[in-house]
Amino acid sequence: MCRRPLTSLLLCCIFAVLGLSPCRAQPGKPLGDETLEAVSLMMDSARAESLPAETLMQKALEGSTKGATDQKIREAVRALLNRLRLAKKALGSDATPPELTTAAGAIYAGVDTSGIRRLKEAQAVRKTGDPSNDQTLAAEFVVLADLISRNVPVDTASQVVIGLAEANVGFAEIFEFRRLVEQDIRSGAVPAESAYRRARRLAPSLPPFGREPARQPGDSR
Amino acid sequence: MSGNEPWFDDLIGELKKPVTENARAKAKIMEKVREMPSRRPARRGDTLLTFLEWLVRGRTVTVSPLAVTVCALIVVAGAIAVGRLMTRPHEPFPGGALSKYGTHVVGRDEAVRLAHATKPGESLVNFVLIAPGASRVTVIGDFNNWDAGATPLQQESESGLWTVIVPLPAGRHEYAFLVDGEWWLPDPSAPRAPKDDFDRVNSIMLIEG
Repeated sequence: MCRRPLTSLLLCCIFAVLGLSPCRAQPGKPLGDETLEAVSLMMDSARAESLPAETLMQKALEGSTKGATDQKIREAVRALLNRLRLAKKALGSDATPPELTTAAGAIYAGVDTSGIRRLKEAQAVRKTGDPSNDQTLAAEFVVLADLISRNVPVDTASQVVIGLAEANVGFAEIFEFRRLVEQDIRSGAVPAESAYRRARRLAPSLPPFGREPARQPGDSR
Repeated sequence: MSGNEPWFDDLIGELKKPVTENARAKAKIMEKVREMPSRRPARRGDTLLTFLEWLVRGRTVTVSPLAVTVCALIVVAGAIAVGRLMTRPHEPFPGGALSKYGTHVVGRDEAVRLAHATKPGESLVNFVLIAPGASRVTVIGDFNNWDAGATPLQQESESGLWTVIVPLPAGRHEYAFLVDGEWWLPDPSAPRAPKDDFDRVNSIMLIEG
């Protein structure tokens, strides 16, 4: 910041206009031996459980580049392994690695395993209607996490994305949906309302905004 | 006679009498006048002072009710126009421009045109960031082991448009941009990952298999 104050100011202004918050990078450092060993052990566990082990090493490297302490890195990798386990439990053994990693991201964003399971059920409904459809749920999980990060409440985001999955909305369409919602939010729209309104154009079976079905007892969506 | 009061006619008579000039007294007065300091030339401060005096001097302005109404209408219309301009939907990457100004998977035709080498199962991804004023931009992600120097973006002219084409395998990729080696920034045109364990926000790229 001190070296090029004007450039930094300009960049900050541009990022602010785009609704982004740049963070200052910290110098990365190599992973310590203890951390490397811990991550290797967790990777072995992941392989044994048919989880995408490489994701764990990537998380450790990410932490290193971001200047996190070794302890923080170990905690992050352990937490990711737990989220991958939860994702696998909810999605079943036939889940693909991208589905598992994206579902783990959705869990981290605040979606609980019942929400993940409901998406899996929606995928089954989709396959029943179109047996040739082999679209994974990865796009749905990515969009779900993105909506939550943009302040769409978890319940609404889950409802909307499940509706889109049941309506057999394709890969490109769901990402376009996300882009339009982001644009609405940036223009000042209420996140939940925008997500619902945009989703209903693709999935007319979704009830109008504000008239979502009431939660069933024991339903933790 | 004029028909005026006698005292009035006397007064007029006195005033009409020729004035006898005292030459000595006149010379003395002129001498004093010459001794007075001459007016100094106008300086910049004087002009400013004059302007400020002109600015704060009170005036009486006459305006017709019609003129006041017209002025008020112009002000209201201007305020509405500015308000609409500020609240209109913001489209950072309008329609077809997305492929130019946002990160995207390169289409088949564009890939052929670029003649970029790819392995089977890989797709070309064009990472794009608009960062005018930046001196260096790199993309960091799980595809380059989060190496801050592995994948620098090239600036296209002086427009501030930074791009790089990277072959990536199908699947989910997490990444972010690093601007000037200091600023960690998620991709404005891509879905966001939730704020990560290290208090930063990454972007997600999903490539179909």
